[in-house]
Amino acid sequence: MVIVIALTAISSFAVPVHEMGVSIRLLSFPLMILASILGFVGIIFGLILITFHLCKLETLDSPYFAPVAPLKFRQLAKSILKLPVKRSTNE
Amino acid sequence: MKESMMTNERNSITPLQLFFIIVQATAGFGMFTLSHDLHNYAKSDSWISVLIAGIAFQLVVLIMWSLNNRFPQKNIYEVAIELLGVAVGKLLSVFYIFYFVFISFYTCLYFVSVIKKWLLPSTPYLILIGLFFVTGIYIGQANIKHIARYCGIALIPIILLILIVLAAYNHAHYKYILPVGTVGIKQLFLGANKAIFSFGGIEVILLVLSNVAANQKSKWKAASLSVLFITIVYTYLVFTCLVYFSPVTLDRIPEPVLFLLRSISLFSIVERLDIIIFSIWIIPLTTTYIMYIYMASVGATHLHHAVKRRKIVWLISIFVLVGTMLYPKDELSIMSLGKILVSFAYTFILVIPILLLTLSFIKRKPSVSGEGR
Repeated sequence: MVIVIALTAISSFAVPVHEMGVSIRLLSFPLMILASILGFVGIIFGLILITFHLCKLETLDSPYFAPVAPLKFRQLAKSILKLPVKRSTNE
Repeated sequence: MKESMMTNERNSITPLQLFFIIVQATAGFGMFTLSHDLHNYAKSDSWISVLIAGIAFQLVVLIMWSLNNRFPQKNIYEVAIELLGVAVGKLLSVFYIFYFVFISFYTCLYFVSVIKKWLLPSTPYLILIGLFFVTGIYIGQANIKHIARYCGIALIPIILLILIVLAAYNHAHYKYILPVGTVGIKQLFLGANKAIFSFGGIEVILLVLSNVAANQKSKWKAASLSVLFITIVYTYLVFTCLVYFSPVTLDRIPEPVLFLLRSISLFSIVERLDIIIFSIWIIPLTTTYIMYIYMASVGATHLHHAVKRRKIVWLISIFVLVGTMLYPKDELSIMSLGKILVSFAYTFILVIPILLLTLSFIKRKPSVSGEGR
């Protein structure tokens, strides 16, 4: 338990968006309960449900997991690799 | 209004998502047990058996695709009604629905028995089934578009599994497979027959192919590639087990892949990889279950236009819940159920599509322009 909480605390620094912290904290409670009752199986089922919910979300007609969940390689590459402005505006 | 909703529901998948859906629907069953099951028949040439089954399933894909090619906008239920008339077509749809419900029931049973054996021996059955129940209801009633997105993400665990099993090659003994091709063709085909079970889920092509917004050629390419992917994954797993375990050991252990993972430790930090991988394997198994529930519920909406898919999903899930609670969960009765299921699978995957295809050639080619949706 201590190790798990410590790992969570450390990995919370890796969250890029600060506003996401609250929702992550809220989501972690049901996962924690599931984990304590059913172990790793519970975590997996919790993650399945959460992931599917996020897949279902659509904000302003664009899917929440936009370049990943309807997988589009070009957009994915664009979101990871940022070309110089000159180059990217030419496209 | 309804017409526009139909078109919204239709044609909403890309070929890449078709690939993901077929892979997710197919992977799951028998991922861990396949090499043991095959070893009874094909001994050291089990991996060739898997390849044979893969080739056979390429033909199945070709048949299903050419059926779809005759009616590009129609799924299997609509094709049945179109070709056989309303009464017989609906009867066939009912058979298909029962088949799908039956398999989802079997998936749930399989999941529960294996989880009980490996991970949670003292958890009551009701809770384990309840987990499946909730997941099935939540995801099963969703739109195919959303399921397709989820399937794309759920491919990550399968890739993870492949990468971790790679560690077994540290201790591989290649001489175990060495007399290649000694068991004889009959044994190879018997093994391939056994491998068909793990390819279950391919029926999803019958249904989903009509939802893909692409030309026929790229539909076929995606479906064929997904079967190729699955074949490669299974062959790889079987091959790894063959070179890792001696033939005597492989005859004794029912889940070779898990035993293999148990002895691996990752960077000497992570131990007992079998439990982690086993839990991760739940993800492809649930997607298999979800696809079957989806297929059955879509079929029910084609029976009568007043049927709500949400309610059907609830109905099927409750049936699966009750059925799994009542069915005896010892290994023998589950295995006998699996045998019945395989014999049904031949009819529903191969025979009926071939019959429908020949019938569509006997009848005149349907007018494409007359169809609004």
